[in-house]
Formats: sequence, C-alpha cells, structure tokens
Amino acid sequence: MKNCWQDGDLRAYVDGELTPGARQTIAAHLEDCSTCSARYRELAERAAWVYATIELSETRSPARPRRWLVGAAGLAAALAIAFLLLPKHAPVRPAPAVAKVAVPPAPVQTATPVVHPVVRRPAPRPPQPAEEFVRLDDYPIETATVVRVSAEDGALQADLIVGPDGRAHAIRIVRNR
Amino acid sequence: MNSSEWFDALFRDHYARVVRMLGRLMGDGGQAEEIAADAFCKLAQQPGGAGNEGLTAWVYRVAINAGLDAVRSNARRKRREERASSTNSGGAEPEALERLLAEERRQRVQRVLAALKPRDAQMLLLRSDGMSYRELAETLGIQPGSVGSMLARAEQEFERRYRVRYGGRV
Repeated sequence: MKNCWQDGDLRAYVDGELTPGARQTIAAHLEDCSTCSARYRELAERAAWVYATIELSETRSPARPRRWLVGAAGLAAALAIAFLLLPKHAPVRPAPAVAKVAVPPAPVQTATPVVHPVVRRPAPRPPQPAEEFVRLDDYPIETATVVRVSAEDGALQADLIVGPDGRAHAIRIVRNR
Repeated sequence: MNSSEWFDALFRDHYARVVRMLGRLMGDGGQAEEIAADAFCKLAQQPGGAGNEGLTAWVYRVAINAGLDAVRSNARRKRREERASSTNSGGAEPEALERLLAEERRQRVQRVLAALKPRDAQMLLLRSDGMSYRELAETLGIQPGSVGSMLARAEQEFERRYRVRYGGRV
C-alpha cells in the first residue's frame, strides 16, 4: 500500500512521541493498512516485552514508578478504545494487541483459600467469570487502570490493577490453559 | 558560563540518571555510584567543557562502557567463584528459591545487554527509565527523528539475542 510508514515512525507512534498531526495521519493509515497495523502491533508487543523483561530483572528499588508499565497501560487502554470505536463495517481484525508482559509470580497471599459454606447448588451455573482479584499489597487503591497481560502465547492471561505510579496492586487470572 | 558552572549544571541534570542507568544494568547500587562518579571525574578533566553540547552524550557513553566492562568482569569473577565453591548448596529457607530465580532473571538481562552494542544497551536502559525521545536524542548525541528507528532496532536485537540464549519462553 502506498504511503506506508517506516518502523521508526510506527515505533514513535507506539510511545506517543509524534506531533498531533503525524499521529492523526498514522492513526488513519493504520485503519486502512493491514501491513502497517500488523507491524505496529508487533513493535508495540515487542517493546512491552523488552521493558517488562528488563524491569522484572531488577531486584532493587521497588518503590520507584515503573513508567514503561504506565505507558503499557495507556497503550492497552488506547487499543481497547480504538477497537470499540471501529466502524461496524470495518474488516474484522485479530484481537487488539495486549501488552505482552511476563506475569510476575503472585505472592503467597493466595495461599488462604476462601471456603464457601454452600454445599448445594440449586441449578448448574453459567460459565464462571474470571477469578476474583487477589491483592498484591495493602495500598489503598483510589484510581487505577486494569491492564490485560498475557504470557506463553496467550495460554496464560491475567488482569492487573495498576495504580498511577505504575505498580500492580492486584491480579486475577482470566485464562490458564 | 565559567569553567565550573557547565560541570555543575551537567552534574545536577544527569548524575542521578546515570546512576539509575548503571543501577539497572548492574543490580548493584554501590558499584553503579562508583562508576558514575568516576565518569563525572573524567568529565571534569575535559578541556573546554563550557558550551560543548556533546559532553552530555560523552559522559553517558563513558559510563555505559565502564558499566558493561564491569558486568563482564563481574561475570568472569562469579564463574571462578562458583567453580571454587561448587559444593556450597545455598540456604534452605523458603525465600532462597525466589532469590535464586530473581538473580537468574537479572543475570539473563545483564548478559543480553552486555552482548549488545553499547549504544543499544544504553538506549534500552534509558528508555526503561522513562526517558523521552528528546532526552534520548540529547544523551546519545543523535537526531530526535532517529530515536524511533534506533529504539526499534535495539529492541529487536535484544529480543533476538534473548531468545537465542534462553528460548521462546520468558
């Protein structure tokens, strides 16, 4: 397709590092060009993976904001909104790219299972929704973003509640097969 | 700007960031500070510092090169130590496994970064610290318009080398 964009421009678009004009032009192009939108998703997923890997390798200074995660949260939110706003007649595309990060091992807080007193159920229940969120710390959550992350090629998916400082405060597993 | 003002300004604006960049690379805050301080000492000895825009890029380059050298020599020393004390099987406390896994993750990233071109490693470390494209261009001494493509290449190279060494699973 003509007017296709270079990797450098698409990569800058991932980080929101373009002028508003260029951003609009690329956004419009991505609507129409499957090659560029696939390339864009690839760059976005790789960037999320690289910075998650570098970040997870750190064993020190856990209190510092993780800005790549804030960026990934914004990216995931933007992709979700863009997907919702797609016109109905738009060609069906693969699911929007989710920030592909390795899910950190949940702390041992999950070790106390909730025991439900109910022994009988009146009727078969519909498929269960995702698990409840498990808190990863005790910080009060006032404003936060929910970020869907996946690992192992989508076999493991989870939602993270990410605070404004970029730290994950809670997690729930939505798929583990 | 007199001879010490340019240095003070550069130190104020960039010292903490250089320490963080090295801390991310090395996982050792003390060694990161030592190397950063050393790089800024060398900077102070540079002649004609005032008005030289390239000195910001220079001090980051000196710091990342010294950091990568230290990572490689740390790795060599660690291998020697491991060979010497291979019978020591570590503690049995419950956190021991988690600490070992965290250390393994850190070493994998270190090894891959150390195998990249220093400028690629520097870009990834600074970007993971949240540096904007304009700041990246300044600290690397490149055009702001080149940051996206250089970042994309550095990330691709990081992923490729990581997967070659450690396979697809992360």
